[in-house]
Amino acid sequence: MNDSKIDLLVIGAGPAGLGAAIEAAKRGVKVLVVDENAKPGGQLFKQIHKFFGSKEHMAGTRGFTIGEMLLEQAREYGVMVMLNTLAWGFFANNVVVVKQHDQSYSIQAKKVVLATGATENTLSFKGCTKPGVMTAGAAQTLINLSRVTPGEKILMVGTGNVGLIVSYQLMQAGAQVVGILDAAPVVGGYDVHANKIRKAHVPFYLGHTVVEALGKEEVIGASIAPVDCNFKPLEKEGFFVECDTICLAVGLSPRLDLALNAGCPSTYEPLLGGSMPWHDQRMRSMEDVYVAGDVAGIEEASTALEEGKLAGVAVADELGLLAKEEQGVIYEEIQSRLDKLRSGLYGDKRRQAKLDLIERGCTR
Amino acid sequence: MIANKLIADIHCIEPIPCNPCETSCPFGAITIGSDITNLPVVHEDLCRGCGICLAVCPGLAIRLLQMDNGNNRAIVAFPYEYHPLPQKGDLVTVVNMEGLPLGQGTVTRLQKPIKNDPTQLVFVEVDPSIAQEVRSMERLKDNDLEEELIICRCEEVTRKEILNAIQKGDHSLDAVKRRTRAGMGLCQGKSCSKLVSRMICEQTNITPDQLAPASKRQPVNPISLKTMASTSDKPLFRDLDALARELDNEVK
Ligand SMILES: Cc1cc2nc3c(=O)[nH]c(=O)nc-3n(C[C@H](O)[C@H](O)[C@H](O)COP(=O)(O)OP(=O)(O)OC[C@H]3O[C@@H](n4cnc5c(N)ncnc54)[C@H](O)[C@@H]3O)c2cc1C
Ligand code: SF4
Ligand code: SF4
Repeated sequence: MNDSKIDLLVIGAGPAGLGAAIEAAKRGVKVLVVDENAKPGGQLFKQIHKFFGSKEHMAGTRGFTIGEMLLEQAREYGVMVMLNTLAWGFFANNVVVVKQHDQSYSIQAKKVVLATGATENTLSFKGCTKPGVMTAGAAQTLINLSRVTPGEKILMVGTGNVGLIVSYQLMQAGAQVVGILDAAPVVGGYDVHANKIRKAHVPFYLGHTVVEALGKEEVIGASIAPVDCNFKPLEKEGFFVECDTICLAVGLSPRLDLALNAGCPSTYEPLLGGSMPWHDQRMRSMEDVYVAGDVAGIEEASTALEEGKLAGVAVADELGLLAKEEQGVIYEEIQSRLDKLRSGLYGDKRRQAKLDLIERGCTR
Repeated sequence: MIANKLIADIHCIEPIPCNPCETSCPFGAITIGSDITNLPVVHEDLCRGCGICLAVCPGLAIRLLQMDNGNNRAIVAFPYEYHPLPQKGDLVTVVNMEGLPLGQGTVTRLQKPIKNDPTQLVFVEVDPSIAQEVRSMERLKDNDLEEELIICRCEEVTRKEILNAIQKGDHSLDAVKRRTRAGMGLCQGKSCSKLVSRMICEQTNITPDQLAPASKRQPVNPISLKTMASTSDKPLFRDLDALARELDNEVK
C-alpha cells in the first residue's frame, strides 16, 4: 500500500456524501469523494420537483438545483470529487479499493463516510421479468436524465412519495398514467403529492395489487385485483388494465454491502427500510467508519444532507479540527434541524425509530 | 328419484343431433331413440352409476347424484377437465350451473371411467341442501405456474427452488443462497434478498428482525479480474495536490 493516506474518504456523492464532505472540508479536513456515476448528486440529479421543508432546508428549491449548490460549495472548500469511480471493496485498516474504467486503485483514509444510498425493492408476480416492468427509479432516470419515456401508458405500483412523484413526472414527460395502485387501503405518500396526480384524473386503485404482467414478448397490460386482509389477491375479482409499462415503487433498502464488508454491525428497523448498518448519535457505525443518508435508514434528501453534515462534523471533531466554540453547539444545531424534519404524521415515527435504534445499541 | 344410490342425472336441454350417452351405456340405461335429436331419458332402475356416460358426453351434461349416502350427506360426481386436479380429501368450492359458489364439499374419489381417456370424474360429498344444484367446482389455482415465478433474476432461481430450500431447512439468507445461488448474481442480491426474506418468514416462524442480511463479498459490484488484478502497485496519487490538479483538469 504505497498510496498516501487522506483524512476522509466519502463514498457516494448524494446529499449525504456531499453534506459530510462540505462540513469536514470547511474545517480543514482533506476530503476525497468518490461516486460511481458520471454526475454527482446521487438521487438529487433526477429530481426535478421542488422540495419540502423550511428555508434552512432549501425548501421550494428543485432537487437538482440543491445538488448543484452542494457541489459548488464542495468545490469551494477544496473537496476533491472523483466521478465514474466505483468503490468495490473495503479492507482492513480503512483501505478502500476503487476502480475507474478498468483501472483499480487502493485508497487508505483515516476516516470513511459511507453514503451509498439505497436500492429499490422489487415484487415478483407472473410476467414480472417481461420488458416493460421496471422500478420507478429506473423510469425516473430514463425521463429526467436520459430524456426518454419508458412507455406511453404507465401503471404505477405503490402510492408512497416515490410512486406519486414519479407518476407526476412521467406525465410531465408526456406519458399517460393509466392508474396507480397500492395494496394498502390508503395512499402512502403526502396528500399534496397525491393531489397532483388526482387533478390529472389518474385512477387510484387502493387495496389492490398487480397479479400478472400480460403480453407475449412485452407488456401489453396488467391484471390487477383487490387484496384480502392478508394482502393476498382475490384473483377472481381481477380485471384488465391496458398499459405498456409497469413501474414498481415498493420501497427502498439501504445499500449496505460496503458497510458489511467494512465490519459495521447491522440492525433491523422496518420503518427505515429493513436491514441497515447500526450507527450512534453522531452517525458513527464503528471505529473510523460513519454512515449517513439512505444507507443509514431510508428517509429523505433533506435528512440525508443533515445526517451527512453530522458525520462530517464528527470526523472533523475526531481529527481535532473542531473549533472550541463549536464543540457541542454544532451537534445540537444539526440535531434540531433533523428533529424538525422528522416531525409530523410521518416524521415522528421515523424520529422514534432512529432514537430506538441508537438506544438499542448494536444488536448484531 | 332413487335417493340412496348413485344415478346419472342428465341436463341435456336442446334437441341437438347427439347420442353417445345412449350408445355408451353398457346397461342400456339411457334412451334417445331413433330420432337422434330426442332428449335422453335415464332409466333409474337400470343405471348402476358407473360414470361411463359422464366421460363420454361431449357436452359434459351428465352428473351422478346420490341424495343420501347413509350419513345424511349427498354425493355428486361431475367430469372435470382442468389442471391441476383436486386430491382426495381436499375441500373444494362447489358451484351451480352459473359457476356461482354454493358451498364447500369434500373430494371423496377421483375416477377415470374410460381407459386411455383423460377425463376425470370428481366425486364430492356435499350437504344435501345444495346437492341438487351442484354442477361443478371452482377451478383450482395453478400453483405450479406460481412456483415457476422467478425470484432471483440474475441467477434465474424460481420460487419453487427457494421453497424447496426452505423446506429442507435453509432458514437464513445465506443458507438459501448456498443451495440455490439466489443472490449470487450480477446485482448481488439487491433485488431478491427482501423477497427471499419474506418467503423465509412466511414459511417459518422467524420474524424479519431475526434474519441477518446475507453476507456480502467483495467486489460488491461485478468488475473484471483484470481490473481487480491491476490494483496492487498502482498508486492513485503521489500527493493530494497532484490529485487535486488532475481532478481540476477533468472538470475543465
Ligand atoms: C423518486 C424519488 C423521489 C424522491 N423525492 C424526494 C423529495 O421530494 N424530498 C426528499 O427530501 N427526498 C426525496 N427522495 C429521497 C432522496 O432522494 C433520498 O433520500 C436521498 O437522495 C438520499 O441521499 P443519499 O446521499 O443517502 O443517497 P443517494 O442520493 O442515493 O446517493 C448515493 C450515491 O452513492 C453512490 N454509490 C453507492 N455505492 C457506491 C459505490 N460502491 N461506489 C461508488 N459510488 C457509490 C450512488 O451511485 C449514489 O450516487 C426521493 C427519492 C426518490 C427515489
Ligand atoms: S352411469 Fe353408467 S349405467 Fe348409469 S346411465 Fe351412465 S353409463 Fe349407464
Ligand atoms: S351425450 Fe350428452 S349432449 Fe349428447 S345427448 Fe347425451 S347427454 Fe345430451
